[in-house]
Amino acid sequence: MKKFFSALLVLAMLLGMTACSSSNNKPSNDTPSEPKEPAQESESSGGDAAPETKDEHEPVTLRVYVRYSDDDTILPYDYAAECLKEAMPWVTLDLDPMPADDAVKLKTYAATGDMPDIFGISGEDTIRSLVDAGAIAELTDEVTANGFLEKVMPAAHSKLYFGDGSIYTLPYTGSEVALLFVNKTVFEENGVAIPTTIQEWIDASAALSAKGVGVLPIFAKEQWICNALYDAIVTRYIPDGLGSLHSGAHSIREEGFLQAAKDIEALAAAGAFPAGVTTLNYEQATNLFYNGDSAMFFNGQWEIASSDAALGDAVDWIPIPAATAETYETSQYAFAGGSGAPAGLSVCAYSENYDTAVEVACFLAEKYAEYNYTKRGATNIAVRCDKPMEVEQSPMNKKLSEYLEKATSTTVLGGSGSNMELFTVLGEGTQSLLAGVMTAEEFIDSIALVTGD
Amino acid sequence: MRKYLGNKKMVIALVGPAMILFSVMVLYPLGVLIVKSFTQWDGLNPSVFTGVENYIRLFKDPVFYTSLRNGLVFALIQVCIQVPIASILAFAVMDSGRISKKFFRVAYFVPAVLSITVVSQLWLSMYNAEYGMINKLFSALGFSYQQNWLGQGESAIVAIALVNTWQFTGYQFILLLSAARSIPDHYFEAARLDGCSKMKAHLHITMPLMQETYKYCLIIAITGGLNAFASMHIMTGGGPGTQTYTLTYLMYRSAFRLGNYGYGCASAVMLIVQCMIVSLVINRCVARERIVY
Repeated sequence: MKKFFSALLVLAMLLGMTACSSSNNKPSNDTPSEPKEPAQESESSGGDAAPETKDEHEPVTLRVYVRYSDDDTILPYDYAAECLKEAMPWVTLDLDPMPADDAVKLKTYAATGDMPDIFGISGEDTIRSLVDAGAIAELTDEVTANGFLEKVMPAAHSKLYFGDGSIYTLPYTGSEVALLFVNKTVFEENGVAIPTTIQEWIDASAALSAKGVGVLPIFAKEQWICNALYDAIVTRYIPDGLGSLHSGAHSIREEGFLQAAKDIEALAAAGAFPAGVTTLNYEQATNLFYNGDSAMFFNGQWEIASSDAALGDAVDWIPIPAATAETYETSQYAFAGGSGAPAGLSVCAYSENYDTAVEVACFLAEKYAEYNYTKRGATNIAVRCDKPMEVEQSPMNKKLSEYLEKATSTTVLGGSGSNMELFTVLGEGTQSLLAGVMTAEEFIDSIALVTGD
Repeated sequence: MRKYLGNKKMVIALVGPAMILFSVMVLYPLGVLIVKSFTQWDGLNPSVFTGVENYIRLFKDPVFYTSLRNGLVFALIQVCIQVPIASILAFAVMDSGRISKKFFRVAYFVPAVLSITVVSQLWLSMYNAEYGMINKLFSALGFSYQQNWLGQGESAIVAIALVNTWQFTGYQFILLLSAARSIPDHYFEAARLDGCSKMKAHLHITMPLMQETYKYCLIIAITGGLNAFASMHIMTGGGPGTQTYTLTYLMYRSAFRLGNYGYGCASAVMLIVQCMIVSLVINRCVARERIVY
């Protein structure tokens, strides 16, 4: 009996060791494998490819690592995958949903040589790490040859080109802007005017708060939205917003940054943000706004569809209140967001099916954009779409399109940029401002430690 | 004993596998961690040796001191609340009847087996400043006192530490109860014959005889406090700002948010040093002589 158990233990150990051993084909760090030459058959990008039969091609399975967690990410992916079945029936997609983990899992994949064939990526730091590791393919030649480049909307070029002018990412969403949503009914019922200047915003917050009405339930547990709010207010003084800190075009010691911090301080003091705002998540914040318990909401333009569905005619978006009444006319077209940093779909440099992966990545990027344009009525798509819009554009979307045509400046949404440390410290600082645990001056000093000002 | 130790082959055969496992699972990663703490490393590409630069930066980083302070506050709360309450519960259960003993033994241990995510979410809703149960309770009792529990730096770290204390007191309780029950009954019988009360018996017999267990409880309470991460990650995300950071959180932020693994390793080394100092001090000061009964 003992011998039997011993044999069983040894077998289990051997099996365990076999399971732990890697069967990947990652090239060593010293000699990263070069991306293969573009495939002869992939002359045109996937979107225009005529359907071909399975028999003409060897079946190919591609692992796709993209966000797949909510309607915003599930529906476009499902649509693109369905279209792919018709256009390239020999290709099977093996979806590996991406968590919101600051690219930790992706880096682990790269470190262990287990990279997916196609993956979503954003952030210059992450892209640079993968470039250095030889894990991400440079797609400049491929997207030029297959015509994808021509289809990318000029507004999405900031998401396409990396700092050195190379292309590693195929943008599939446009650069979205941050919007301040208002529930007009709540304002009317409480006899408070919708603000056009920051001082009016502070006064309106105090008035609503005094009546026990929620003002702005921002989901400040996520630091990027705190950054986005600060960035939006900074644009009232410095139209380039926080992006100018990354590029070094402006110094954090400039008056505009301090004034914007003071504005947030004043809003917090006026009761604009709910108590415990830094523990509020997206679901809780939207519930407060959609249930009519709060007068305002701040998020990217992707919130238009959901807020329309929840509040109908009662909801609208307004330009971020101006610094003064005199600057309202000019500053209403200065947007927070609207520009992008490199982001989109990328291809593994050592994918076994490199050519097909590039073709499919281009196809998916096109179809994502197609879905957003035709089914959602979104106009700021990354890739041109020739199909007609299938839904009627909502009044908020129409208004946004009109405003965006007159846009005088844009920023990178959420204040991200090439300096990850600056972005993180900004997030921590703006969150502290919202919670009232840091003064505007302390906030500026904490940022200056990173920027060296 | 000498005969056994004289057989070197047998000693190697018995100790070897454990030593190999320990080396692979603990010593090797520890060595790599220390080496990497002297480098600039993005976790993916070859690291670049930068000497003590990470440590100099660490000592200049205000977040490091916030993290250090929070770790100590967390550990202090664990020790001051968890160990005494666990002792009282253990003694109470020890002296209770058979059925209640069984019931309370399970009941007190239940929080310890719950998922930390579940516990954190539960307390998140209780701590909610606007509609949380705790503030509502104050209102219901007629107190005007309302607290933004997780929204203010000082109260947030204490609030999180209390959640952790609540969850793991049951674990300390089980350890102490097991130790108390292993004390031979004749000590207590002798004390009872001498007219000693239960309280005095626990103070003068149970507690001194359990000092080895107390030493272990202290070590896990303090190092657990210094290492705390999951609760704040779920409840506050380290916020507001960096107000609820601990060294583990600083390590996480450096490595996974900033992609600066070298700096993260330096924070981890500081954490290890901190835990080692605490363990050494406790080993030196508590239960220095082994009690055999």
